[in-house]
Amino acid sequence: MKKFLLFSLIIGLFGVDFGWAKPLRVTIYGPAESKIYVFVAEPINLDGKKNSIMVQEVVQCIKVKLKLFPFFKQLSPKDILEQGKINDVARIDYKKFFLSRADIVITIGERYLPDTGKTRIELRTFDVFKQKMILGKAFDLTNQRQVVLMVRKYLGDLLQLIMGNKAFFVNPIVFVHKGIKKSSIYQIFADGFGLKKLADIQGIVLSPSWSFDGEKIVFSVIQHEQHKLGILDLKTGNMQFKKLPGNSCISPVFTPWGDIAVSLDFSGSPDIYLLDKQLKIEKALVKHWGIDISPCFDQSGSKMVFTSSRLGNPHIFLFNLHNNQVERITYEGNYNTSAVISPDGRLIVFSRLTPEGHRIFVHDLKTGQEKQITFGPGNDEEPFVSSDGYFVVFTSNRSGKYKLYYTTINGDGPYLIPTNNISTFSPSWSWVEEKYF
Amino acid sequence: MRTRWIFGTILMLTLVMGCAKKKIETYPAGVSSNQQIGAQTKPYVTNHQEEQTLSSVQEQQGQTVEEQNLQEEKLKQAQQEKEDIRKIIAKRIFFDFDSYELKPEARKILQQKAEILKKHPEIKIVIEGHCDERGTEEYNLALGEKRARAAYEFLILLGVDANRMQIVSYGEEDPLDPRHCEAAWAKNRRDEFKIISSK
Repeated sequence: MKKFLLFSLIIGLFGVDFGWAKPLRVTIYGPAESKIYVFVAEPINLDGKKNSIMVQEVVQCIKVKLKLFPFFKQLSPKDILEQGKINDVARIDYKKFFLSRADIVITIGERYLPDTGKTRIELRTFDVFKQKMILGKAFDLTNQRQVVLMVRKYLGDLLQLIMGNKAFFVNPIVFVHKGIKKSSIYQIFADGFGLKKLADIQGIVLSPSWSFDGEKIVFSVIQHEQHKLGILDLKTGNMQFKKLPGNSCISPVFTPWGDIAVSLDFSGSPDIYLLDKQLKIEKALVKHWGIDISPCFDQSGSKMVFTSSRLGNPHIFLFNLHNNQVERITYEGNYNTSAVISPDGRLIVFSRLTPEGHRIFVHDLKTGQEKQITFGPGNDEEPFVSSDGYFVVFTSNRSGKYKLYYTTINGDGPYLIPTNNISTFSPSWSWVEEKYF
Repeated sequence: MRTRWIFGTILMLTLVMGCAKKKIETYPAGVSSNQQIGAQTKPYVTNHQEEQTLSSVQEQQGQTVEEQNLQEEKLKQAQQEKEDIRKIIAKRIFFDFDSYELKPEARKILQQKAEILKKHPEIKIVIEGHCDERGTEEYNLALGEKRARAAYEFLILLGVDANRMQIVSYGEEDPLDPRHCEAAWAKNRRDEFKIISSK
């Protein structure tokens, strides 16, 4: 990474005009998201030589990564007149792409830099309708391992342009792998890149959750027949454990203002309490004789969604922190759990037990509509929504073993997140960019 | 005069012979009189005393064996009792899906446990609440806690001191039967009881 010399060149018209790029934007709350037809052109060797293996890998990597998005539909050369061949990026014949319904064309140029011994890769994206380049960047690579870094960076910027968010490539997902008498907390990105073990912990770790600044992970752990609260500080690498009052410590999460909300049972039943920075109980947020667990806050800190059995079966409720009112969200089914709220506070994503197993549902607070977004087989559980409010990561045992998948709020996919075949539980998607990779 | 001398001689001989007989009787076999005289300065045991000591040892040994047997028997009984206690304490109770209500058979089992716990105040236990794999991790952790607490509170009602019991929920993390079917789930929705101290 350190050797990876990255710089951006403004090539041609790099100015980003959102009004101008409007036709390409993906509207996540639309009744049906628009498809963007993409053509990845054959690479051009700008020295007039044969293309290197490295540039072939760049093409392959771009094509593979584009397949991870439901709104990108790739066109093959046979779909385009003259196989979509481009000889000069300065003089693109847009008509043949326009006739083939291509929305954007991605070109890859390769140039050898004899002074440094590096290979310069120039990546450009053109809007066919506007006949303009919307994103152009050049990267000087020293080896093939940098290809994936470059492609992730470039496509992240492209996503930023189209969706207004590049969380998919830059916000890490944390999850738990359970071993014998110990657990490990891992981190990975949604495209399967950067699988990394963050910590090994004695006991059973559950419910890891990111702080809103991405610097800490809070979790609960069962150690020596006791429930404890654990905090992993990613900045210092320190781990802190705290036995809180009562027997249970369930589903701790950070609040947007940096405190911790957690379900504790010291009054006889699991209720949701707010802890201060010293981990002392500040006040009860939600208290009832039933089970109250799994708090999750929106980014503004005005709404908290949670699961409660106050009506007999577990259902999803919304707690308004401004007026302390509790509102019931789910009426269908009799087992709704694991609710999370989108950062903007509009969507609630949760797991419902159906006769076929657990499935993920989305409830839109604005419209009141509810939609099933996963369909098994097996159990689809523990959803967590990305910071753009569009992707939803979850665990599923559809293959026989619990693995990570992601879908979208429209139910696309799902797509497997490869984790080297280790079992995965309790995924939580950071709402900020990775800081300590 | 002659008659007196003869009588006197007979008397002396009689006395001498009588004394000699006594000596022979008291010396252990194979020991000369000289040796015996020298040995008289040390305590010695007569045959009779030896017999008495031997029988006493045998008696003692007999008693020890008996005691040992008795102790072993007691130990066995104690172990058996301990095992019986352990078995009663370890008896699991089971729950319906998404329920922490104690069933009638669970109440019976808890009554047996309460009797044992009241009889043996030295025993401390931990009650573990478990769930089947259906449901989600966090909810099952809370449900397991409710199940453990249901047993805990029932035992308190039956007169067991709350300080002798602790509860912990494992949710769905420690299934008894790893299969994915109703028979396995029914086994996994349970409370387990473990002795943590019996001093």
